[in-house]
Amino acid sequence: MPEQSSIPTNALSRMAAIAGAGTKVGVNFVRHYAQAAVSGRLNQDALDAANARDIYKTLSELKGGPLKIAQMLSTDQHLLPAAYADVFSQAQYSAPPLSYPLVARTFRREFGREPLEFFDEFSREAVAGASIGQVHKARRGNLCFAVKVQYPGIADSLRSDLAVVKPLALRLFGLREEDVSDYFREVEERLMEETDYEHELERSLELTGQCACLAGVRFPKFFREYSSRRILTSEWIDGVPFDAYCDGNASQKERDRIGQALWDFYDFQIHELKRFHADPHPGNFLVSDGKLVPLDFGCTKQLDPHFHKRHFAFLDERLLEDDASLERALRELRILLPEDGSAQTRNMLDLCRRSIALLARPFHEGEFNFGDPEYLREIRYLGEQSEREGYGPKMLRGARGSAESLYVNRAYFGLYNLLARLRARVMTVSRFSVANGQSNPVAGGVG
Amino acid sequence: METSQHLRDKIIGKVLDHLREHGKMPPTVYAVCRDLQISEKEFYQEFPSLDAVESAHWRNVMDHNIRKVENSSEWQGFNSQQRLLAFLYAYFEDSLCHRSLLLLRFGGLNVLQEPVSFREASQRFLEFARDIVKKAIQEREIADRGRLNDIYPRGLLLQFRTVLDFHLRDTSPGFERTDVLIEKTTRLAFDLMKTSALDSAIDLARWVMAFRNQGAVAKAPCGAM
Ligand SMILES: Nc1ncnc2c1ncn2[C@@H]1O[C@H](COP(=O)(O)OP(=O)(O)O)[C@@H](O)[C@H]1O
Ligand SMILES: [Mg+2]
Repeated sequence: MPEQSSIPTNALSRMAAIAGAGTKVGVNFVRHYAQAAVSGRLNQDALDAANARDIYKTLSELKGGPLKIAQMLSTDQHLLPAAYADVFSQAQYSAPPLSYPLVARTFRREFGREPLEFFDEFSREAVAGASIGQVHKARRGNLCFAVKVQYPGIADSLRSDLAVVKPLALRLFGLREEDVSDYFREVEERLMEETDYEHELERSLELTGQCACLAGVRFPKFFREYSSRRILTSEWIDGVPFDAYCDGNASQKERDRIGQALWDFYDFQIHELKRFHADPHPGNFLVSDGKLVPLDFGCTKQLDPHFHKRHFAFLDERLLEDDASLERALRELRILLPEDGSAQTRNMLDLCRRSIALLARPFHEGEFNFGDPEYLREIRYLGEQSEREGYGPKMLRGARGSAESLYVNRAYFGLYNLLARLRARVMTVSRFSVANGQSNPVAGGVG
Repeated sequence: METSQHLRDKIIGKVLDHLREHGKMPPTVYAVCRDLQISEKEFYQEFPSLDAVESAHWRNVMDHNIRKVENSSEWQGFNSQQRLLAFLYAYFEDSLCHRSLLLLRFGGLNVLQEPVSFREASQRFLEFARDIVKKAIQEREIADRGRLNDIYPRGLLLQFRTVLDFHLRDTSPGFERTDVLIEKTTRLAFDLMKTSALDSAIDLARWVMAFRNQGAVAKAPCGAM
C-alpha cells in the first residue's frame, strides 16, 4: 500500500477538496463542449471518464465517509454510467496505512492493553486495507486472528463529510434533494452503523449463527473479548481473495459450486431471515477449501416484512403481462405517483416493465448462466438507454419508491456482478418462502 | 536526612498542588517551606526560585515519557519514525493525567511563544529529537544535510508544540483528533526530511530575502510566492 502524503484534515479543507472536484467537473464540461464544437459530436464516454477520475481522486483523498459512498455507488451500476462504476470500484484499494504506534495506542485506548499483551504475535504492518481502517494478522497459541483497526476520527468526521458530499452527488446525478432525502437518510444510517464495530460484531455473531446451516459457506468466528467500538477481531481464514479466484483457473464445476453457495447465502438471508449482508463486494469474500467465506458484516439491512412482500411481488411473471396489475403494484410502492399524467404513467409502466423483466430474468429462467457477458451489458445499457430516451432524473421527479429498496437492489446488483465475475451457472429458484411462492429481486428500478 | 531527590519531589508536589488548587503559584518560598516544614536553605539548595520548581516538573514529565517508551519492549524494533510516534502517543496519553494543569499554564498560548516554564522540558525534548534524527540519518530514513541537520530537531520541537497547542483545544471524543494530527504531522515531518523539499524551501526563502534586502524587484518574487 503506497503511503498517501497528504490527507485534508478539517472540515474546511475537506470542503475545499470537494469544491475542487466540483470545479474540475465544470472544467471538464467546458472542455467537453469545446471538443464537441470542434469535432461536431458529443463524446459522453470521454466526459464520464474524465469526471469520474477527478471525483474519484478527491473522494479517495478524503477517506472515510466519501470513500464509503464511492464504494456504495460503484456497486450500484444501475445508477452510474459504466465509466463511473469502473473508476469508483478502485476505491476499495486506496487506504493509507496507520502506523504501528497508532495501532498500539488505539489498543490502549480501547482495552487499556497493548496488542502484545493479548497476542503472541501481531503484525507490525497491515496485511490488508479496510475501507475505514486496516487489518492486522495476529496469533495466540495456534489460533490466528484478523484484527481490524479503525482509523481514529472517522466516525467523528463522517457526518460533516456526508453533508459535504450530498450536494455534489445531487448535482452529479441531477437529482432534487426533496425527492431523494429518504434515500440519503437511509445511506447515512447504514454508514453510521458501519463506523461502529460493536454493532458490526453483534451483526456478525447473529448472522453467522443463523446462516450456519448453509452448506457451501463457511464463516470466521468473531471474538467479543478482542473487539470494541474501534477494533474487530475475527478468526483468520487462509483463502483466495474472491477476485483472484475468479481470474484463476478454477473449473466450471467449482465456479458453479461457489456461485450456488453465494446465491443460497443471499436467498436465505433476504427471504428467510429478512436481514442481510448488504455489501456484496469482491473484497468481502474469500474462497477456502471449495467454500465461500463471507468476511465483513459491517453493512447489514433489516427488511420490513410488508415491504418485502410488496417488493418481491414483482417476481411474478404474470404481472408483466397485465398492465392493470402492474400499475396497481407500482402505485402501492409509490413508484407511480397520483400526480403523474397519463403519458408519464405510460412511460413509467413501460420502463418498469422492461427493467423488471430484465432484472428478474435469472429468477424466471430457474437456472441461469451469469457467465453470459451479454446480460450485464444489457443491464447497463438499459440504464443508459432509458436516460437517453428522457427517462432520466427529470422524468423521475417526485419522491418515488421506498428507501428500503436501496440496499435490496444494491445486494442484488452486487450479487449479479459477483456471479458474472465467477462466470457461474446457478439454480435460481428460491428455496425459501417468498410471496406468491416465488422470490423476486430488484423490482422498481427507481432508487 | 532526606535524599536530595526525595526533597525535590516533595517541593514539586507541594508547589503543583497549590497551583492546581488555587490556579496560581504559592505566594512565597517561605509559605512553601512552612507547609513542608523545611528551612529556606533546604529549598534554595534545590531550586533557585519558585518558577524553577515548575520548570522542573515539566521537564520531569517529558523525561518520564521518553524513558517509558525507550524502555518498552518494542523500542529496539522501531525505526525512527515509529519511535517518534510512540513517544508522542505516550506523552499525550499521559497528559490526560494533568490536563487541567496544562490548560491552566499553556492553554491559549501561541505555538511560537515558548513559556519560560517549558524551556527545560523543550531542552529534554531536543535531546531526544537529536537521537531520533541521528538514527534516522544513519539508517538513511532521512537525508543527511551536513550542518543543516541541526534544524531537524528544532522542526520536531515545533511539531510537538503544534500538537500540544491543538490537543489543549481538542474536544473530540477520546481526543481522537489529536491522534490523527500526530499521525499526519509525523508523516509530513519525515516526508519533508526525506527529500530535499526542505532545502528547496530554504533556498527559495534565501533567494527571496536577498531580493528583499537589496530592495530590487522586491515586489515580484514575493508576490510570486
Ligand atoms: N477473517 C479474515 N481472514 C482473512 N482475511 C481477512 C479477514 N477479515 C478481513 N480480512 C481481509 O481484510 C480486508 C478488509 O476487511 P473487511 O472486514 O472487509 O473491511 P471493511 O469492513 O472495511 O470492508 C478483506 O478484504 C480481507 O482481505
Ligand atoms: Mg469489506
